[in-house]
Amino acid sequence: MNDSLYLAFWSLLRRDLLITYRNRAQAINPLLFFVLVVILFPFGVGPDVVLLKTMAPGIIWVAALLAALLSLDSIFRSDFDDGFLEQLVLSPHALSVLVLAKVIAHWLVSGFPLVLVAPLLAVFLGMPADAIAVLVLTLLLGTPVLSLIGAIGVALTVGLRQGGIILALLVFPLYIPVLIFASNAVQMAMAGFAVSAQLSMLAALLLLALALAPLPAAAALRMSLS
Amino acid sequence: MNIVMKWIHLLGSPPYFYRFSGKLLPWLTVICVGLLVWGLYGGLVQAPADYQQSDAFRIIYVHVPAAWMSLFIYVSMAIAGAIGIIWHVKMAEIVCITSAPIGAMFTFLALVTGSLWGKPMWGTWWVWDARLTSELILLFLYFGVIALYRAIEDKRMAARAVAILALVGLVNIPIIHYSVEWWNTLHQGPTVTKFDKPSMATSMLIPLLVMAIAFKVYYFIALLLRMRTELLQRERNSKWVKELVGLS
Amino acid sequence: MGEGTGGFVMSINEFFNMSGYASYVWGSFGLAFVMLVWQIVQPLMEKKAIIESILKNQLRRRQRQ
Repeated sequence: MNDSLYLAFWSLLRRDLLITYRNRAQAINPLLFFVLVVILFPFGVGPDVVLLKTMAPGIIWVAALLAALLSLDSIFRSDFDDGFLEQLVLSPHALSVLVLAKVIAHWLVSGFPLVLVAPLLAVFLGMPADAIAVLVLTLLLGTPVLSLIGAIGVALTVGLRQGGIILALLVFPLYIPVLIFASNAVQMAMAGFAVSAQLSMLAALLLLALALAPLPAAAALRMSLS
Repeated sequence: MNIVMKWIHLLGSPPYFYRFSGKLLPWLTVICVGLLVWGLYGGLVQAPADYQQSDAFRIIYVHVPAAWMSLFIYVSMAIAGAIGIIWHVKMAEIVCITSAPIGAMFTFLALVTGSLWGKPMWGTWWVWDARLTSELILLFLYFGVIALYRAIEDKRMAARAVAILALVGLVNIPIIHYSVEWWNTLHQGPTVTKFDKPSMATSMLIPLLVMAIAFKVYYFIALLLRMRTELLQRERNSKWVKELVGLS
Repeated sequence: MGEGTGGFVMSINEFFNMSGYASYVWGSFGLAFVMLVWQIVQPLMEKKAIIESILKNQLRRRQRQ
């Protein structure tokens, strides 16, 4: 029984990755959005190097939040439209584990690329090298939390016609702790302080989200499909 | 024990609940108005002016009870939602969703009175103080709940969605509160303690507690009124509603 | 107003003046009052509208019969 759940988890993960690979042109869009939002800031606040450098952690993290929100809809959308989601709900496996597989697949294609591109943006904004390392670390720990919490919001709104704006309303307040700890860690790293406390808080948030978020997401999916 | 359980079961039936709450409401109103008069007289007249903040401190008698209520109602909402989901209690679902606008109102009230208090004390309308910031986030949590309920057309489904969301919010509130507090002390230093009064004179404290209880009774009244309206709406085609409005 | 417990005498003018903080204090309490009353009035009005619509529907149904 346990083995079959394991199998279901991996095959679902593989399936989702494969589907994204086939539609890779679409998968790049959130990434471009992320880069664009960051590039907008110098136009908004002026090309002041010092100002941009102090704001850089906040800018990159807020942009990451927006990009995460934009990509969230694709976790369940196409599966909801073509009925695959109903089959998942009806399958004998624990729905929360299957949801976790979908969220991980989603993070790998939409969250992980942000982590890879962020150093480039950090250089644009004049961030020093050791702070960039911390930035990458915070994104590695933080963006999965965004996907996990976001999955709850998407599961609640997937059946709605105007789900997008409500999704933002549901999800952004819950993103605030991640934003606080992550951008503060980068700021402190730039000022030359130790950041282990912030990073361990982010790690704790990640573990908590991994353990808890799939449960309400599964419950919400059941609700949305009933 | 058996009688209590039976009565709770009876309360789950809409016509009984409607009649019972109708009888309860006048009494609650009398109690609430009495407590409000007592609390306001104690707070606005009897309590001496604060030696630092003078009479401006009297805003505490709306601000703090409203802030307490904003959290209290969110917790009650989430608990009612959990009961509704786990045991499929229709009445608990109604408690959950009808609490949201009342809680949002108290949160808004706490924010505005906090700002009105902050202006003479801090010199600005808004400070990113930990308490006000948490309250602001709480307001958006309430907005999310209300928006989700309005967006889902099937109200039974909407009630379940709202219950899930309220529970998720409940788990997140301590995390948000802690992180905001941490963020605030890091950026501003723990200087902003004007709202915290470590030792309050009894003549100042008693009106505050009276106001807090008055607000709790008020919440109960507003909740019953909203529940009654919601029941009428949901059961508008049932026999008891038709009898109630004079048709049969 | 009468004598406070602190043993000081408060005149009506002083009471309404709130030692210069009148707009903040009375603004807070006034807003609270308005919102608390609105929160009571709103469901009552809604209830009235529901009852009226039930009666109207019933009337229409009877006329049709």
